[in-house]
Amino acid sequence: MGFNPLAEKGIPLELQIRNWSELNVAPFDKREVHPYTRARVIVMNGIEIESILSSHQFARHTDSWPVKTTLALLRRVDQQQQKAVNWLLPGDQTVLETTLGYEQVAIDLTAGLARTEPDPYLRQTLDFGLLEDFDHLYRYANLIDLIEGPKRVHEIVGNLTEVMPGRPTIVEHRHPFDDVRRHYDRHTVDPLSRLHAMTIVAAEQQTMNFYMNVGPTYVPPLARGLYLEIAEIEEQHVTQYESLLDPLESWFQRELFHHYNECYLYWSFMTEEVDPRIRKIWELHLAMEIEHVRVAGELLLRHEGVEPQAILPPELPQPTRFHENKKYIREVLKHQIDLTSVGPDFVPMGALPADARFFAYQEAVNGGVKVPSEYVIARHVEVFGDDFRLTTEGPHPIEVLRSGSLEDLDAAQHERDE
Amino acid sequence: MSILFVTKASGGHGRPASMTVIPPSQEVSPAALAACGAAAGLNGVALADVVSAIAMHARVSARLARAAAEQTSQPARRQLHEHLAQMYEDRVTTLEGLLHKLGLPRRYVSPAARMAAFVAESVGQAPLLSGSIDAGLLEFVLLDVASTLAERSLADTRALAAIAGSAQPSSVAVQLAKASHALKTDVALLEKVQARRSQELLAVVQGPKG
Repeated sequence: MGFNPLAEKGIPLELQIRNWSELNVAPFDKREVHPYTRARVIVMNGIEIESILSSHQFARHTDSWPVKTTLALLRRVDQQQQKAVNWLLPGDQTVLETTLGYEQVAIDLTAGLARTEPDPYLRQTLDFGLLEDFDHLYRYANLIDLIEGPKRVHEIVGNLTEVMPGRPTIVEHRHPFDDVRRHYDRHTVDPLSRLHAMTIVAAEQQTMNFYMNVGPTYVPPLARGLYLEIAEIEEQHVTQYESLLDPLESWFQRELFHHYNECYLYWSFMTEEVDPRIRKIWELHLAMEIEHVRVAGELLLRHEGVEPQAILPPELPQPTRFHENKKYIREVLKHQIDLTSVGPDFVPMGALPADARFFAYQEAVNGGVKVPSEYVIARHVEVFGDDFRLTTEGPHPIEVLRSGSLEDLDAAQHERDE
Repeated sequence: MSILFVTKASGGHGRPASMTVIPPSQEVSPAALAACGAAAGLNGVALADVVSAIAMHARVSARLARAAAEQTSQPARRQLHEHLAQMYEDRVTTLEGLLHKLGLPRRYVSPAARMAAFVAESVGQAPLLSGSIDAGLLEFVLLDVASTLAERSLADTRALAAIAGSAQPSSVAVQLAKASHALKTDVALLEKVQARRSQELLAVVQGPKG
């Protein structure tokens, strides 16, 4: 039998408020932590924030005392959960190191979701975003090398995620109309697809918020420029992924789905967490969220006449896990790197007509200026003689994106010989 | 008991539109839609759209009637909302049966049905502003919502009757007539809700002057 939050007993809501000491958790050691533990912390921070902000929006659309007060209580506990989770990040982890963690999440979370996504269009959308975040890690990795010195990248991402060019950031800047996607239909969607869509929206939303706020805290113009440029892509990604959600889902339904997704992810991460102390936090928060699902379900029943069992699956789907996706990403790179989008459809860039709005937008932002995402690589080559990469599976699958390193040159020669 | 919230697990099917994605295994083919009205000389896609939308309106109305029965503090009013909920559930059964007889999935949710759900659920959002009114007025709002939903249900009943009347003699025409006949039996209760609303408004206006 699988795990069904509706059949479990959680911690009563009135017992969930914690004191400052309980919330001010000891951070993990950035040198010792498993990269995917850091990734899980980042994901759950984003999930909690998304739930909190959605609840605030809901609260702004009602003046019903029982609804507003129940939301306020649930939200306060979610806020405390967010603090307990995000305060696991250590103060000696620099903004750029955290940024690498965010991009590792964006890569391995997105790839993991895409690999298990049942719907072909949603999977395509995830793959499309994946290659862009994959490139962001490469750009930031080169920046941290320049600003904080070598070896920082490997310390953060380990050998779990490769670092090399994806779809070049410079070509990711599309006209806003071309980032809007189609959405699933609440009456036919697979429950896992909904959870995937909610999870990726939360992850990208927090990344967007993070970059737009920390970007100007840097002094070097190159760093400020790169954060600015990639923050704009994160806006595109939020536009893309939020489009996947069915706008027909009501406030009460969304409230339930948020808490259900929190249950799903705490439960998923609890089963694979390697740090026993942090696993206990996932377990505690799961017990809290089980109660939140129950309370949100009561609201739904009272105000919409819908029993939560009618819209939730009988058990949680297969868990979302962090694992290596190197081969998968290389395959996606090989087949999809040249894609862009026209409205909600994905098309090869070469198929765009000369008067496509894509080119006008590109000219507006890239024309006649140093593009930070390109300049950071040029600067790295200038300073170190080559760009920074971290590859474990051989040269880049796209020949033109291979570096000038001896390894890549040998690989290219080998391919030509064959 | 009728399924009042259609999901993939309860047999949801659909038809993609400009902004919606339907999993291939749950998509109703254009051919199946076209075929369902052919024998009666009707536009099958449109017919399926209409029947699906009427069914969806009944589902949402049943849910909201249940919610109103839960929220009201007046026993007589609770009974009215419970009767409405049961009536709407019966309508769902009738209309799902009609879709099935038309050769379509019982829980086909057409683009028009999505819109019907949105319209009805929007009406049902009214109690979210309950903090702006007193408890007495909230009771009236619950009745107001029921009356608005009844108005659409009456219109749906008339529309289905007109469609059934226009169908060329065929098995489809027979099924449409049967379903239409079943829906007409609800007219008295639907009109009673509307009359109740008018009476209450009148009573308020004629009551003690403030």
